[in-house]
Amino acid sequence: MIKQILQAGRQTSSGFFSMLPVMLGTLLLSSLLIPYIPRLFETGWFGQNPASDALLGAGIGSIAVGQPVVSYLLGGELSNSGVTLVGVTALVVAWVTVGITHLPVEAVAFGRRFAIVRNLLSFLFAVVIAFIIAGVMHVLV
Amino acid sequence: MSSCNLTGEEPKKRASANKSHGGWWFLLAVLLVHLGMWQIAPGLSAESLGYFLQVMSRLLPVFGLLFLLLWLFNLFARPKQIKHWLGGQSGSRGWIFSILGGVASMGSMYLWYPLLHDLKAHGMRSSLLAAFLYSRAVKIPMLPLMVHYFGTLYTGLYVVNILLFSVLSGVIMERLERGTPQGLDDND
Repeated sequence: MIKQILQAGRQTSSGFFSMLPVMLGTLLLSSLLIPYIPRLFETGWFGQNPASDALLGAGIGSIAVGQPVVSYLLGGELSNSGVTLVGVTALVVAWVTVGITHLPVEAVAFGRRFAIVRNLLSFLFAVVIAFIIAGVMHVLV
Repeated sequence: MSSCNLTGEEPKKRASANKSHGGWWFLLAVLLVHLGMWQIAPGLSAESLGYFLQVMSRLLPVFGLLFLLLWLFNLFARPKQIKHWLGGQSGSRGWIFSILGGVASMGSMYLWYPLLHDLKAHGMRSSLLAAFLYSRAVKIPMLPLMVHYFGTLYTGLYVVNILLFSVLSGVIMERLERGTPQGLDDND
């Protein structure tokens, strides 16, 4: 049993520490990007049309990291300032499903192709879901 | 099918991945970017580092817990069991487990990558992995807050869409993997 415990410990250390520099690097990288996100909202890029709002929302959501609650707050603020529901929804969905800053860690964990394809697909889905939800809300509310 | 990784190739792959210094080069590159940033805009750099330290102070204790959980997982998990629940023959049971697992999973994604990496190495299907990662977008404790900001109808639509698209994401990922000779999990 002791042999098994030690073997499991070695296996865990090996896997865990191989991912540690990538996780630290990714956190450092995201800490560089985060302060710029609120500034993007001041540029006036939002509110042109639903399609560009959706792409911009999904784009910002993709590079953002943090608790989903932050995306609700930002989404709420954007909605109050006139951004379309499509843009807000794309931001909220992409925030939790796409992770550009997580990409290096995801690539190490599951393979580069898997990570890139999954994130591209999730970006596309964020835009599609945004249009579905906004469309249904438009009809029902 | 490459989604079942109990072929004997995986340990070799993992060993070579563990020996790789790519992660350290990546960390060094990011540190250099921070250093450059410190020279150009010290205020922004300090703000970024403050944010980083704040996140790290929150994550460090959880990393300890994660290490312990991974140790227990490696000690008790049997590849056969994992293959049974989440492998190629898991069927609808596998989908239900991975989607419910994704919804129930808490904490930062960083904490889940090592565990999912181990699950995949022990035979978890790529489709179920993709479904797990996508369904994490539904955070049950956060739903009341979402209702507060966006309303009940919006929240209901959000949850239904995320769950449906998590299945779609898994199906598409598996189709793409089948259509790619070397699969989607290479690190070349």
